[in-house]
Amino acid sequence: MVVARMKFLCDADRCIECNACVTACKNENEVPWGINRRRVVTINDGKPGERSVSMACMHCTDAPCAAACPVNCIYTTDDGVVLHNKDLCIGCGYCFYACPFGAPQYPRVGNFGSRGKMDKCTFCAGGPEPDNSSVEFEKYGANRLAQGKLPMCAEVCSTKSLLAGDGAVIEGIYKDRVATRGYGSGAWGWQSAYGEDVPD
Amino acid sequence: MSWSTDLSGGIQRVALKHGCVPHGNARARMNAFGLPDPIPVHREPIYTPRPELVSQYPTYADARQFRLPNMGFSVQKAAVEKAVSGAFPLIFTTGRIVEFEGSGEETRSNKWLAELQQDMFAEINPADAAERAIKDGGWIWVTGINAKAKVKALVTERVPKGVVWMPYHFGGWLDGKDLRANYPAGTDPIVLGESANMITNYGYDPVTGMQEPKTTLCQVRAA
Repeated sequence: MVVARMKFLCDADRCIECNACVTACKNENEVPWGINRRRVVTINDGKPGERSVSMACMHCTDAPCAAACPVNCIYTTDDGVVLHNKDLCIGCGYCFYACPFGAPQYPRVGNFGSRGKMDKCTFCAGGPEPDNSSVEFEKYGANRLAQGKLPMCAEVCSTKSLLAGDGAVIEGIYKDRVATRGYGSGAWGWQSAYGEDVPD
Repeated sequence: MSWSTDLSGGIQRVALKHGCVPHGNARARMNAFGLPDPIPVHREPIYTPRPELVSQYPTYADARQFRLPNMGFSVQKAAVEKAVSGAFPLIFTTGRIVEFEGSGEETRSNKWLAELQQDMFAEINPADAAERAIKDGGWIWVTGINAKAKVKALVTERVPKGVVWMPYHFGGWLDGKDLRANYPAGTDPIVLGESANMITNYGYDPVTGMQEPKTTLCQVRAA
């Protein structure tokens, strides 16, 4: 059996900055106010050439956050999803410096703005606890992958700009799209995350 | 055989002779039965930035509509005579943002949505902002014909010079004051802000009585 390699792909030519992915992520995973596992970044806002891109943890190949983590709490699953163990995390923030996408988030705990345990996108795949257990939901949010479902953000994307799933499949969808419409400004982040050329 | 496959042009010739458009069998008819303007005509707004055009393109005559007077014509005439546009040089219009719906009472009470848009704001062109020393994200007073509102400035080229735009989903502030304490316990939305409808003013559609929330004048200054 060939195991899927889960990836995200955001087609910046399609994103309309509706923030449905952000809202759906927060609702599905009960992410508290101030923590953004996913966000939509807009450049040249209000000017010709305005572009938006939905960004979260890209679940990198050979994830730089995992290399930087001093307690080795970040691991890659068989599906290629990068998860972490909040029981081990010490909230040092090294992963934030290592991440090319600004994915790791930290709740503010205690005085002097000290950081709590890191929180980030789990590809809706929970954490190391038993799948879909209440303790897993409490710490990491939903585990849709264990239920055979894809991440909520991509499921609700109104323009199908944000694609999630097996890398080979979503890469194929994007390639067909670029060939059909005749242009593609790139699947932003793909090269940094997966060390491969942008599929177009 | 149809006009599109008749290469001899016969069908087209006969159709044109009878006043028909050859690619259809009907004449376009622009007549909205029962409306004051059966064919749309230009009418200047009640408070217009071009008062010299009002005599040529006035709004509808004063009339009793349903059970109420609609005094748009008199209000427009008075605005021209008092040269209101001199004190209010910017066009003011309103619209919606994707996070909220309607007056926003419900959507501003939703924590996922409220977090995405936490401040009432007005979009203003960089040229207008520079003239008034307004900074992006700074507080400004938007003054309308009847009222004023304290909002944050979003300096953007999305609005042309001379135009100010505000979303209409906010409420709970009045005259720069947060009135959260006046809400019954537990009913206050997470995010409050000035209501854009305080800046809009007189004007009613002659057929439906719908208010005029889209076109008026305002002035802006840094708060």
